[in-house]
Amino acid sequence: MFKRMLIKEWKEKSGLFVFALVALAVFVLALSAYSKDKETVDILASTAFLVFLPVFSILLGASGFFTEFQEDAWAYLFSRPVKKGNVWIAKYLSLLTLLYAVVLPFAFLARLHPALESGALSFSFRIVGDLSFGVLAYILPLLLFTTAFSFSILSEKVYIVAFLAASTLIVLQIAVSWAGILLFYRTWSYSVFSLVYLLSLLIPLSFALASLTTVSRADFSQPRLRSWTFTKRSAIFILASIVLMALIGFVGGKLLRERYIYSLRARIDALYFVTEKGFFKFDPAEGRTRKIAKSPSSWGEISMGGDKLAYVQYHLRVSGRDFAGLRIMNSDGTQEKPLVGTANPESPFYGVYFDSVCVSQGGGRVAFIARNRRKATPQGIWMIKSDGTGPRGYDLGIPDVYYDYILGFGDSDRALLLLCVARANAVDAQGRQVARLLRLDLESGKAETLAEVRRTWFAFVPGERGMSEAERLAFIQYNEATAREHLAVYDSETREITQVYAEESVRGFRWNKARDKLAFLTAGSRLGVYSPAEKQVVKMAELKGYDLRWPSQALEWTADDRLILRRLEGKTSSMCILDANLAEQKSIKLPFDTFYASRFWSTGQYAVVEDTEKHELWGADLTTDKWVRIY
Amino acid sequence: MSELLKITGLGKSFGRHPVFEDLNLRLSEGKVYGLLGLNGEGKTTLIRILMGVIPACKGQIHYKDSEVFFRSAAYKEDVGYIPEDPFFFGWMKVGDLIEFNAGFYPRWDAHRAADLLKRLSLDKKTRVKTLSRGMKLRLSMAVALAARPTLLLLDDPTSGLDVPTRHDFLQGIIRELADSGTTVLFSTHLVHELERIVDHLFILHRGRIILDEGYEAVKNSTRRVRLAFPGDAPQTLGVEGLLTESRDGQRMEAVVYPWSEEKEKKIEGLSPLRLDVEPLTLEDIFRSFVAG
Repeated sequence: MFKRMLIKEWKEKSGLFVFALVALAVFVLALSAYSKDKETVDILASTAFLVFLPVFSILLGASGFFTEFQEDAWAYLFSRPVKKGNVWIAKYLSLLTLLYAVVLPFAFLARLHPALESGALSFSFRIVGDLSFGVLAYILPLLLFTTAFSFSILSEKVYIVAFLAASTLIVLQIAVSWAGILLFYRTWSYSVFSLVYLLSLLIPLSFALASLTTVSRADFSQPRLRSWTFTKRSAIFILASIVLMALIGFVGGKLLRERYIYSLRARIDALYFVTEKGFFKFDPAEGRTRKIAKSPSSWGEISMGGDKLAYVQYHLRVSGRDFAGLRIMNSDGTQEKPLVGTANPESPFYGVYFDSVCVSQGGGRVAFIARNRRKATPQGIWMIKSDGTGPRGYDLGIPDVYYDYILGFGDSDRALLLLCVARANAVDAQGRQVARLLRLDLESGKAETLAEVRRTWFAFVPGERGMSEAERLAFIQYNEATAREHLAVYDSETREITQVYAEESVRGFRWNKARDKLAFLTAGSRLGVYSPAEKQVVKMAELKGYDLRWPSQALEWTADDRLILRRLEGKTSSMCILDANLAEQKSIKLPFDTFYASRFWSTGQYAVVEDTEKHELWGADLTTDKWVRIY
Repeated sequence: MSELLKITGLGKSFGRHPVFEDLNLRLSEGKVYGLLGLNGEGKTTLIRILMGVIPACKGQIHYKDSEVFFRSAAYKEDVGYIPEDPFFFGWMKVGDLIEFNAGFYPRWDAHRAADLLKRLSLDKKTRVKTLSRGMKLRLSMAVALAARPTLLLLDDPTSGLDVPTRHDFLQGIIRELADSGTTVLFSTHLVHELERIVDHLFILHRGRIILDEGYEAVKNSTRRVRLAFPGDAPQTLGVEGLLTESRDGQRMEAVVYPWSEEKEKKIEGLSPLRLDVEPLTLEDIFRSFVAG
């Protein structure tokens, strides 16, 4: 029976098949003719894969029962000694073979044709993980065809069926996507997110089951009854799919929940960090970690100054808009309160998102950048007092500027240091961009340019961004004359910029806790220590055998001004302590194996490292060289 | 003769409009059954239910002692079906359609199919959509009969056939099938044609089977009586089983079922001047049954 049905369906749809082959031939010819014109190749490929194949899939599916509606041929077919469900399945499978007889040549062509070599396509789809364009080319026609075929039992009017199927599928897929996003925000698990997306395949499957059971059990001779039965069953199956998705989402969320340490701030007296479970403080004096606030942040930024901690909290609403709130609390988790939010349409912050949050050194003020989501809302530098009063926006009067980020407060919290770039300012081949280092006087609102810095995007990161101790600011800038990356220091008290080291390119740097020593790493694997007081490099040493990947992360100071470096031997990483003369004093093996360039922090007598695979925090007591798990 | 098909309490309605309720039928092997009814009484609906084309709302169908459901398919290997308006895939050729059907029936007789095509003057290469209604009916017959059915359901198939073909179909094919043990359920509005072939009659009227009887028995026990009285005819003959009764002054006419000698004596007791008792044709019998 299946063989007969296969032959019948292929014969019936032979016109469509020939049309598709002609389209394929035209596509090949056009690709060959324009193979060197990347833009045209993109347009051709987009048309083939995003327009032609989906439309073909829908039309093929929508015409599934077309011939059966002609002269009541469905009654003829259903009176044969074969189960009606089998008729549906046989038709579906027959047309599916026809669909993939068209899709596969297109998909192979995308892989084999020189004009469409891997990476040549500028449009690419990254749905989740490795589910990329190639997979989409195979799956999308299947989803569209299955849905349209399921709907084809409703009417012989192919175009109406095609429109109905496509629009219903799109609406439901959007709904499922939102469900996926909601679950993702709930679980913060990309695995769950991926799972939900994969489960969205259940929607076409639901329609298919509804269609199959309608054909098997409902009275096909009554169009209204048939439509009603199909609608009811679709609703039931989709509802069941949603319940299944929710169950898997919640259960999977529990099982697959990925733990992250979203933000971490190390002070001399304590270490603060945020995970999905809350806000934690590690006290080195006690050697204990305590949770001091419940989930204060959802992915938002954290900044600390004085006794205050400001952070951004996101709220995802079912209505589809997500809102953010800038909040503040004491560093022990008390007196938590909102400062500004983005949900109020009357507020100047409506529709913006908060970036580069920075608490002043004394903790009395909070600066942030309000970035525009909509063009109507301008970006701006804002300041608000910690008690929530006196919000003030600053217009720096620089046309076409993009505020990159706030580096910190200077001049005893009277000024703000920030970095901005011109929107039209392109990044060069080495990833460098000209940025302006600005000083904003918070009283007068006037901005002055301290330096034009050609720098790589990571020149100030990490360690400098959002820190309140910005009285002295270090930065790397590219010198075209020497073709080197120079290290410079800006002193906000004297307003002087001092060149620190120009002998070779500097790759990374780190201030000590008192901010009176600046360690730096050079391109030639040399470690130097600069003293702002003496305005000279006071120590210099050759480094051998250290892991200097991500140079700014490769360095850290201990509370007693020793330096920490990283060593990697095989899968074993060690934390190496260098004395004041930059000689290795001791080496402590990390309590976990990793290839990653683990970053170190220090607080009290502890040197802290994150296991980025298990998302654990470990602290080594440098007096006993013993590890404790902080989180 | 063993029971082939049993229908018990069958009901079907379209929306709020009931077609029939509580229908009960039994078909035995090797008999030709006539299913008579006015247009719209549900004959086609009943046959479509039996073929599993549409579902019944209630009731049970048993084929060879096994219950069959709307989803059941295997029993249809035994059942041939010739609809009133044959519906095929128009783009197919006659040969394609024969081949297509051969895949569904395990007892498909290719030689018989070829013979039938020849006998019914059908060319394998002709495209189905170019066939006339009569030719489509012939094709439908060929498809149904080549499957060697045990039960053949005919839904008023002869109305589009020319006289020689109809005669060949009724006297030749159907009688031949019945003689070879095939059970035939023949629904038709050309009632007189059944007269030559039918063994048993069903009359479906107003949603019920009002007659379920062997044809000979019906024919032998249905009588038309014509009476003439010296004065005005009485209001009624006063006997049971009056299918029709009419008065016209001194004259009176009635159809009585079942007829009996007792009823005849009772009517004679009314002292008519004249009493004529005569048998009826099948068409007249049918008309009498549905007249009320």
